[in-house]
Amino acid sequence: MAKTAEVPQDLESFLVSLLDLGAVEVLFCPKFLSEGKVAHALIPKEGSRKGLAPLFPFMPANGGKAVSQFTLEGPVDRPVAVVLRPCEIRVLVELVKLEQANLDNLYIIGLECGGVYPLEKMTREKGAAHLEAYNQALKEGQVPQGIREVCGACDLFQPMGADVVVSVIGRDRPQLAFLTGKGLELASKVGLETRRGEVFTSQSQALLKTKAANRAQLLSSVKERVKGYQGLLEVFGKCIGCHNCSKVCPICYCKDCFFESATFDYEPISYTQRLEKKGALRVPMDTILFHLGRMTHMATSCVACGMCEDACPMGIPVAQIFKAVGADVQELFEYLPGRGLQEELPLTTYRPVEFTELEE
Amino acid sequence: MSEPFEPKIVGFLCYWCSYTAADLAGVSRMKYPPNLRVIRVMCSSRVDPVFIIKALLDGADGVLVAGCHPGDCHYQKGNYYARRKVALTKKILESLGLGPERVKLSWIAASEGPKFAQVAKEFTEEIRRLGPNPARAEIFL
Repeated sequence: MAKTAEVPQDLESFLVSLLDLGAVEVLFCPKFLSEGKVAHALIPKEGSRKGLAPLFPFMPANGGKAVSQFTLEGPVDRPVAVVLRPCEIRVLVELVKLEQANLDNLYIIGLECGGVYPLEKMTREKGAAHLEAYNQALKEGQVPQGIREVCGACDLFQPMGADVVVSVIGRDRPQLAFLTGKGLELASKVGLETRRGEVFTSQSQALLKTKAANRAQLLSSVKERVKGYQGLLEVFGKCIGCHNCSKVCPICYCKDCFFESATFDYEPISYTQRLEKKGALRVPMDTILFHLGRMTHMATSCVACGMCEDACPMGIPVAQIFKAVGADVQELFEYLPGRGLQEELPLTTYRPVEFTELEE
Repeated sequence: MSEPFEPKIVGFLCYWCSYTAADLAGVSRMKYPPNLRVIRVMCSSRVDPVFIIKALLDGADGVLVAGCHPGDCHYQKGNYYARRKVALTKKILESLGLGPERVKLSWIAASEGPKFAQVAKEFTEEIRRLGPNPARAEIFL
């Protein structure tokens, strides 16, 4: 049970009221660029509020990464309400731990998420064409057809770490739940009367079970597909080495990527010596190493948002694979990325006695 | 006719303990198989998981990471981080069905020459049992 309120008209008008009534000075929210196309935007009090698209089911960039761009060098100097999906909030928490973002002065409005469509549907088709079916599915507590594979198998669609939660699944009109002091401060500033109620509907709770089952199925089918060196080559062999997956990855924050460094420029002898051992050699080398190496860097923090898969021009199911491997390593370290700031990144901490089965 | 399988194992040994132990095994004239190719690192935590994966993709049949016993790290806690890195690497390999048993972590103190010889022997035997790394044959890795 929490303090809740229905949105006055719609979610957009609630967000505008946050600006108008001085609860915050800036709003961070997806906004329509043109019909059916969205991008994240920072909108000041006196700015244009037309075309807010908080619930439009596309993720042009992981919002957590976008927030890190304007909080990397320090906290924002005025109150900003940020509208984020659950995996975007979790990314933001991970980026704070990685010293790439700052939460001060941010009011996190977390959306209950029905998933997002692959970006291709926004660029090649009319994004809005899918809207009706999507909203209908959400109302009924179903998984919408055609969303990102990882979204269909996401059982963390109820936001964690938000000040205000926007519940949409199983509802005609979104409901707000004010979960923290900061959230309640917003409610009082815009003069919303709250009453005690459940944050999420029973349809949402039922969907949780469906999606947990989807997740288990996805993980096992992915692992069956990428099995052994043969499976690895089958899936990653066609990689063209554009590194788009890492460019759009919200966790891969390094400005100078290790895998693009001179470490991987070899002397000619490295190639010719290898040729003595092998019948032929793939050039450029290290295409597969890049993916496995990237896993060692970010699988512990991967929230399976699906950006990498959308960005892959070769249709490699990157996000599904990272979700599967991420699930295993996160379980190993009993770590859930984005669950809380107090949980330390697995590779920056240790317990004196652990993993004793590895030792001799 | 193919030659009999001789494992090639890459061993990352920490300067302060395990490398010294290997030295001790040598000067004590202990016998151990020559399959281990030693790379000295200043600390076991210097071993980036990428090193291990690179060795395996390039066809190494096994990778040994060895350092000071827990609590004895020259840099206080490097080996604790190394343990987590090896755990992570093995888990990723397991997840993708790439044979995590080809990676081994061992604590060998500077005075433990006989233990070094023992570990080298046992790990070589273990890898011999597993057979050649299937990555050897894959030209597109």
